[in-house]
Amino acid sequence: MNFDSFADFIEMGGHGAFVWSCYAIVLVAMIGNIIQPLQVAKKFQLMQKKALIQQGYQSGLTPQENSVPENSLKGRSAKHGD
Amino acid sequence: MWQWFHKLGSPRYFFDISGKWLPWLGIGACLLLGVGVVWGLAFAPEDYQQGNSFRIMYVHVPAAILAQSSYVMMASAAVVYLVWKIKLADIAMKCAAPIGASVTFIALVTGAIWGKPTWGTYWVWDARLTSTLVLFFLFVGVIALRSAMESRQAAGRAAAVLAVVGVINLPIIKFSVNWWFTLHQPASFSLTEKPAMPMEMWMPLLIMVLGYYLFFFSAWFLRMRAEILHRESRTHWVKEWVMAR
Repeated sequence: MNFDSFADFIEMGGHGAFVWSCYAIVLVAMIGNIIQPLQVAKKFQLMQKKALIQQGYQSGLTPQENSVPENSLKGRSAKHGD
Repeated sequence: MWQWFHKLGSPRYFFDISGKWLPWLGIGACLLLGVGVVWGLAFAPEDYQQGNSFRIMYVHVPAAILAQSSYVMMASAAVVYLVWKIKLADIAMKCAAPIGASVTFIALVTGAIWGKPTWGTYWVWDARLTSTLVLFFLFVGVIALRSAMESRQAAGRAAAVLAVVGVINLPIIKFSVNWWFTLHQPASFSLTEKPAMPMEMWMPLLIMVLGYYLFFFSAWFLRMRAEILHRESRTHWVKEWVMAR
């Protein structure tokens, strides 16, 4: 340990304000850069899931079985067909 | 090897493999940064000229190094995108820009704060500081150019061209301390010479540099994964991924 006491450590020989503000800025910037993409992905996942459930999407099926737009198109063409 | 690169170009493959790498990158970054900060702040000996303000070096120098190499990584992705039109390269370039901008911002701000007790001023318009400020504006410019254009392809191409042209700034930063008279000291580390600092001083710095790199890759991959989900939202595998959570 390079310092005699905790107060000395905070004081940094009179340069405490400079040193600690630098470390605080770095901490905030780094945490922000990690949290932000995590939040974006989580928000996307929640919104997509809600939308997919509304569309009647079922997981575990093949894309063909699940293609909602195609089904609705078929329904429409059947109506127009007769 | 080529096959692996080819596979890596697929967003889905990258999404899967980066998910496996991320925990290790995150743990590594936390460990290195934790050890580096404690060692640098509490255990490294005081500088005989600067006293304790030199401890800012442990967050400033790695930021300055990473700022430049993150630009190199972004510009490399830009070249790959321009030449081979690989979607993942566009995603990589887009996602590197905001992290690069914030790392450059860290380098500028901690440098300014360190300048006050050491040089007596927060800012001087000398070559190294100015060229680093230009680097910051390049990152911001790449972000702004992309968001200013409607078509994703055109925006990606324009941003890539700007990123590649901006590489000119890197040798200017590198050699600014040798070409012009400046307050800024020359490089702390070089591959050819022993550091001028004692081991207890440079070892935590080296650890911090590695920690910053791992932080960068963690943040980069997280951002790329969010972007991949967004761009591939219509694909079957993304729908399955969304539903499984």
